[in-house]
Parts: sequence; structure tokens; C-alpha cells
Amino acid sequence: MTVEIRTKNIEPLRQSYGHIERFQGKDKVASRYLEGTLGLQMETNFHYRPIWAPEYEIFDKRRTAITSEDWYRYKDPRQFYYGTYTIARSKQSETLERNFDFLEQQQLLEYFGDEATAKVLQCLIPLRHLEWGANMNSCTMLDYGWGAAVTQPFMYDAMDRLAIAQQLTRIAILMSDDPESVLDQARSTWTDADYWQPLRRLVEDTLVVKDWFELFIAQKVAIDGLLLPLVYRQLVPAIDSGAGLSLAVNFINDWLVESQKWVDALVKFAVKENPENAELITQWCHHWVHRAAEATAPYLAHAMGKGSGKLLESQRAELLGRLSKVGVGDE
Amino acid sequence: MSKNSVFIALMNDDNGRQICEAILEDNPEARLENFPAMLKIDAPQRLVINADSVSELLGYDWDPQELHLSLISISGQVYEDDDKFELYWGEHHE
Repeated sequence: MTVEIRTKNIEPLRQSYGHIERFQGKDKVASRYLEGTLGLQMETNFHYRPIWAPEYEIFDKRRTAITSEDWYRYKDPRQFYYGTYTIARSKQSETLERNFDFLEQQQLLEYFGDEATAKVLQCLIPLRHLEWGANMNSCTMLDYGWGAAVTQPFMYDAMDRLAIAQQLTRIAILMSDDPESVLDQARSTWTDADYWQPLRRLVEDTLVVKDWFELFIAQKVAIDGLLLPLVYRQLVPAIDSGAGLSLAVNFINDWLVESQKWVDALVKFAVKENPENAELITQWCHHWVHRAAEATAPYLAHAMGKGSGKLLESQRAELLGRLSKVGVGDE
Repeated sequence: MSKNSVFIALMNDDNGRQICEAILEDNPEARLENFPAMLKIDAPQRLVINADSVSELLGYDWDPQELHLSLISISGQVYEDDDKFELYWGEHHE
């Protein structure tokens, strides 16, 4: 007896949902990212206007001066939707937990010299307050931004900022016998020390920026692009030539590289939309990069001493180079 | 296809589809055939999968070793390094 096994190919009538077919054509299977992103945010039939801003709808494209024909044409190059984001972060947090276990076992942070300990407490731990400001800002951007493709990365960013603040807190706790006072001390350093005040002022100024795209430029492009690489790539290795502290900020370094991808993509997307956008974004970029540099200078001078000016200049040049690659013009 | 053609068959899943798209972009002579749950690509003589192209479509750094998670079958000699996975007949040329 022969058995003949035949396969029959049944073409599905449609490959994806209607709104995704309208976006990318009929014959293509949608990725999970697109299915979890496109058209997610409510766009029509808003019932009431917010009483605190009656000139706008709850979601309103006019909340920024930047315009786009279709905000959903922006795509996060990391393709993060809830699933992929949480999977990626859970993997990273496993690594980080192991790092912290190792630091604790080997007591790598406890036997820091007095000078290095003081530097960490003065220059690194107060950054948890800056991270909180960044969290607030990311929440604002996801609140007022338009379309899930654009607002989604801000949600993840807001969560990441809380995580980073917690990691800094853990470093402080590991380094001290009296965790509570160490955190109080870091807070009063943030509010009182001269070298922190320009940065604190900058953070507070960004908290009241109304245009969410300008806020994006201030926070994600200028502050995160200028200050954070200086802290985590220059200051941290300078404080601890061994690997201890670097292990503890390992996630933050990976995250800096990763978030640059979607930030650059969003700037590039908006600049390409129309010349008015390009002009406005160029203006904002230079304004906020200048302000960030001004505010970083005294902090960096305190943290790194001699040569800090040069470091700042080279980081600034690197950031401006990065921006010109995505279409931001010269000053 | 002639006897010199190489092929790769991939599962028709999320990753398989993206790898497939990267292959078709990078190998203009490659031809795709759809089967139930399987994507088969034939190419004359040589077929290359570039890690960079796949990474861009998938949104993360894709390691060519991950190909095996979606792989059903191949024909051809294999050249593999960190940046690409290549199928060919005869002598390998960079």
C-alpha cells in the first residue's frame, strides 16, 4: 500500500487587521511590533475636553509646534512593544542582579578609599534626583505626545529612569553602613552644593516646558546626550579604576547606547517631515545643548577637576556631530 | 533551478519572515516560494544572510547563530562568521 501525503496550501483571506493593511498594504504579514502599536491611541469621538486645558482635546496634535502628516510613520528602531520591552529588560535585570551579588560578595564597593567614597556620594548618588526629573519629563511627553508609535518609547523611558534611580540608590546603600543618612546627605548635596545648582535649575526648568517635542529635545537629546555619557563613561571609570563601580552602572551604559537609537530616529523623522520642523528643531537643539553644557560645566569641574573643560567640549562636539547626522542644522 | 542552485527553508514565523525579507533584499537573484508554514528561498550559486540587514528588520542585534531557531533545511556549502551566513557551491569567495 502506498501512502501519499499531500500538502494543500490554503491562502488566508487576509494577512492582518484592516488598519494595519491600510498602513502597509494587503499582502504583507505584520510584525508583532506593528500590531501592538499602530492605531492604538484613541483619535476620534472624544467626549469631553480636559477642564484644565479646554482649548485642546484629550489627545491633540496641536500640543507641539512640530507637525507631521502621520505620526505613525515613526517606528522605534528597537521595535519595543510591551512584550519585547519587558523581555529585554528582564534579561538585563538578571545580569544586573548577578553584578550586584558579585559586588556584595567580593565587598568591592565597601572598601573604597575615603576620597573615592566621597566622590561617589557627592557626584554620583545625587543624580537619582535628576533621574526623577527625567522620569517626570518622560511621563509628560507620553501624556501629551501624539500616537502610540511616538509615546510608547517615552513610557519605557519613564520606567527605565526609575530603575536607574534605584540602581544609584543601591550603590549608595552598598557603600555605607547607614543607608538612610547617606541618602539624606545626597539629597542635601543636590539641593545645597554650589556645583549642583545649575543642573538642578536646568532640571526644574525642563519640568515646565509646555511643548512636548521641545521637552524631548531638552531632556533626551541635550541632557541625556551631554551629561550622562560624561558621568558614566568618564567620571565612573575615573573614580574607580577597578571594575567595581562600572559593574554597578553596567545597565545604565547599555541603556545609553540603546536609547540613542530611538531618540536619533525620532529627531530624524521630525526633521524630515518639513522645513519648518527642521528649523524649529535646530533652534531647540542648539538652545538646550548650550544650556546643558553651561549647567554641566561647574559640576564636571568639581567632579573631574583639571581637564573637565576639554572633556565637556569633546562630548559636546560628539553630540553635535550626532545631531548633524540626523539632519539638525548648524547654529 | 539548475543543479548549482542553493536553497534555504525557514519557518514562517515572526523571525523567519524578517530573515526572509533581509535575504530577498540582499540577494536580488533569490526567489521565494511559499509553503504551508514554510518559506523556501532558492538562489543560483550563492546566497548570503547579512546579520546587519536582519538586525535592522528585527530591531535588535541578531546573531547569525540564531538562524537555527528558524531553520528547516539548507542545501549548499556553508560559510559562517559573526557578520554573515552564506550558502554556496564550489569555491568560496569573500
